Amino acid sequence: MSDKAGKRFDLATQGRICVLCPNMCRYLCPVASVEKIETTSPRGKATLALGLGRGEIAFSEGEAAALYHCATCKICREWCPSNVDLPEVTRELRERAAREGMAPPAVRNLAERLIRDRSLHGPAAALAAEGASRYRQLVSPGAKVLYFAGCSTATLQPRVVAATLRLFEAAGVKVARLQTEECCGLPLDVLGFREEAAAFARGLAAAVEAGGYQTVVSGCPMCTQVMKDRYPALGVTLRADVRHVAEYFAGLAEEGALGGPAGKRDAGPPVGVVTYHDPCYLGRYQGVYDPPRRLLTGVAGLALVEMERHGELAACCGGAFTTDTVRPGTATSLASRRIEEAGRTGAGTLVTACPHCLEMLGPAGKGLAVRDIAEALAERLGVLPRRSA
Amino acid sequence: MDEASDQAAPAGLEAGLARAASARRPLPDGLVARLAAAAGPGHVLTAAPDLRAYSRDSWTVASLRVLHGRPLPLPDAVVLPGSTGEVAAVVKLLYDSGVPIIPFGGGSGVLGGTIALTGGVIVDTKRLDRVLEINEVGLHVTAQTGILGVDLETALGRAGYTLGHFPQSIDVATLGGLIATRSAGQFSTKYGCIEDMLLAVEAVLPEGRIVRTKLTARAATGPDVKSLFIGSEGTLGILTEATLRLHPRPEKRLGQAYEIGSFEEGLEAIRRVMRTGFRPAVVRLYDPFESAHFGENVAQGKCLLIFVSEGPARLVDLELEVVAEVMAAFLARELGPEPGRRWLARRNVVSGLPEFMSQGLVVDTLEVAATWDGVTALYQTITERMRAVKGVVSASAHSSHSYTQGTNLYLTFLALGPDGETAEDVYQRIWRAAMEACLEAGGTIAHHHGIGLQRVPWAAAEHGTSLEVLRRVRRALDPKGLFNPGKLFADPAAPGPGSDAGEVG
Repeated sequence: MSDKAGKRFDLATQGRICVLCPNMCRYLCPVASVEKIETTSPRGKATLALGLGRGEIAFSEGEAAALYHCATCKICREWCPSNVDLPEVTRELRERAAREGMAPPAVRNLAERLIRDRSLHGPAAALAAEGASRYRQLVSPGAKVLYFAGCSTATLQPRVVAATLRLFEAAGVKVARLQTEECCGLPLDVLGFREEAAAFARGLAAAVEAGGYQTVVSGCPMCTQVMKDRYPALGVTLRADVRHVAEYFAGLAEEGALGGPAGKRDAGPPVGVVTYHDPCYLGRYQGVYDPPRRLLTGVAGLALVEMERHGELAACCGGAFTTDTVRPGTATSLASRRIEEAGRTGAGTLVTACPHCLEMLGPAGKGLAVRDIAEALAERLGVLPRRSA
Repeated sequence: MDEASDQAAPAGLEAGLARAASARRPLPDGLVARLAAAAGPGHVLTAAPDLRAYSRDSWTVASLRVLHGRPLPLPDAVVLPGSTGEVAAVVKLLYDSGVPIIPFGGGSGVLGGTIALTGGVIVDTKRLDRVLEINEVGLHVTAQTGILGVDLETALGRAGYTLGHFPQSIDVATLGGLIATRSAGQFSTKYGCIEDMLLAVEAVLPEGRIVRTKLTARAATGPDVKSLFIGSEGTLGILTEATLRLHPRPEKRLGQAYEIGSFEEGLEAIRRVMRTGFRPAVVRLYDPFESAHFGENVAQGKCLLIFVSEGPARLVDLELEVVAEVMAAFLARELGPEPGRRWLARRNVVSGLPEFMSQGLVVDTLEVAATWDGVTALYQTITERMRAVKGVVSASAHSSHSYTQGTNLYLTFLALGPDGETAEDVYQRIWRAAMEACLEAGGTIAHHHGIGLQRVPWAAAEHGTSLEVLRRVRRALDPKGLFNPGKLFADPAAPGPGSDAGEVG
């Protein structure tokens, strides 16, 4: 987890500090920058949380809704000299909203669907059957490394799954997949359904333990974040080393397992200049900023040009489960803005490392190719056929 | 100690809020629906969390009230128009209905200027957020007034320009708010304050009419209408567009700091620098208390003086050379460029205020100004009087905006305020001590924060005989007294809800 140095206040004090601050981070808050209203500015949410927490405001659906108007991107904490972690300050109230049936209808619907299907985009069992036949040649039952694609990648981005498995193969790493890959629990955890999230976490931890896996690798930063940081808070122990794809392959590349720079291998024609979008859950949550960049420049041999806002202050694409569930319009506005920013770099391709960012940014792309890092890397290493932009 | 300063004051706030509350009237039937038709559905807010969020700005009293769960007046609705036409339609609807109208930008004002004293409708301008034109030949920019200062500056930076306006609130405040509160930026000694930058405005007048002033480099065509809106604090209408001067991005920026023997010597040194005709962008002198807390190893009792120069490289080098010559006459010790760099890096960090206040202390800043011949006496009088108030832990000052004729004093105080009532009481005692001391010493009661609600009790003494002119202008433009009632200066002759609410502070 990103461990921003500096002051530490307990959550209650953090909430009070945020209420008393002149809202100095509002310009960075993605939700405030789109919605424009005080209620969903950082200070507005802290003020509401204080009033709800003290019972000065009746807890009802309308009052609770603003607590979900947060991208949970943590850019406010990154900026905050007092290290106020607003998504954490408001977490307990989202949990109360979920518990008491006060969460917004869209949130309740998502939770119900997820609990029913065990996966975000359709029944997990159906996915399992499809995946087993499609990737049979690339997985090794009994391997000690588990590739956990995550339900969004597995369902919506099969090419990213193929790319990642090809990268494992290229690096000479035998990798296994779960017979049935269910949700990691993050969406429910973020939306306030703590117990339900813990149940998913226990299921995954048990599956990892049963398979004897030593390492879990996922290309979804939300999956890796919840496993690394939130499972302990949910009372779940996951006995494996958890790595995001970018971290894992950057480590292998340092050991020389991926070859590179790509020019030395059959990398195909250059794809031009790329820019990189830091997913909130990979950068600010897990502190993973350099590995994807090292892969893009050092291994893939690409020219990287940064956006105005990158690294710790990278702008959110809108793809967290809060914003895009309760305010899809806000989320798509954020994606469009990020694409505009990427466009200003002059890069022909925008690379990211998160299936949710990919789903947000891809449709907003307007001629800019948007790729997952595994796909970009596999193409440059010549282990995945190139596709046109 | 002055006896008057020891009295709880202005305790009138509570009574004033009660009086203002009694002036509240429910919104006319169907008005919310008509507002939604004018501004678009989804841009009119009436839910309880929204009204609470808009019940405050960054006024310390409002913050204390939220912290301690004490009441603040709520607006009846909030509307966010998306164009000048929508602003005009909304304003006309409200004015015709006799509903108080409170313009709202970033909510970063520190004097309660956006508190909906008598209820009414807050008109939030933040959807007016576009840069309309960067004119590179004429060297001016036109933008809608709901854009945040930082977003405007970022857009200008991309094009190779700067406004040169860097108030501490730049990340929070809107352009309209910066104009309506008569703001000053940290680089004001070179670039001037907002009144030196504004070339033209578009505004919606209280009855809903749109007016534009002519864009020109200069005009001798009578009194200057655009200037009416500078510092109008939402009482004369709503600014919707503004055109401001631009500057090419500076080629070089360099700081130079000194340790000087005393605050008085520092002020004298700045005065002499200002007489040379050179204009370092930043000139900041901290009194011994603040210098000791700056972390720059300034000897006890001595003062830190920071200059930052920017512009063409040759000018920067020459300017700092001239500064060095002036400083040599004061035997000031050179501290190099680092203190200036560190100040630049941390200049907008205000975390000490909320952190101290979250621990039961009362912290605030206030700013006054004086001509060079009176500033030393003002510093001594005002800090002594503030320190004499029971509960005060510290009262200190720095000078941060200098002119040929004088400078400002930016005062910071810290006091004990363990519960809401005590906190507000000590807060108001300190303010009263400061404002009375300032007036006695011949200072100006506000340099760049404005009047808002907090300074209303001293506005009449500040303006003297000129107050009547301002009141007549306000009355002429807003005959019903509906625009931001109770703020800036009270108008007893206005028939609307603003008529007596102005006495509340």
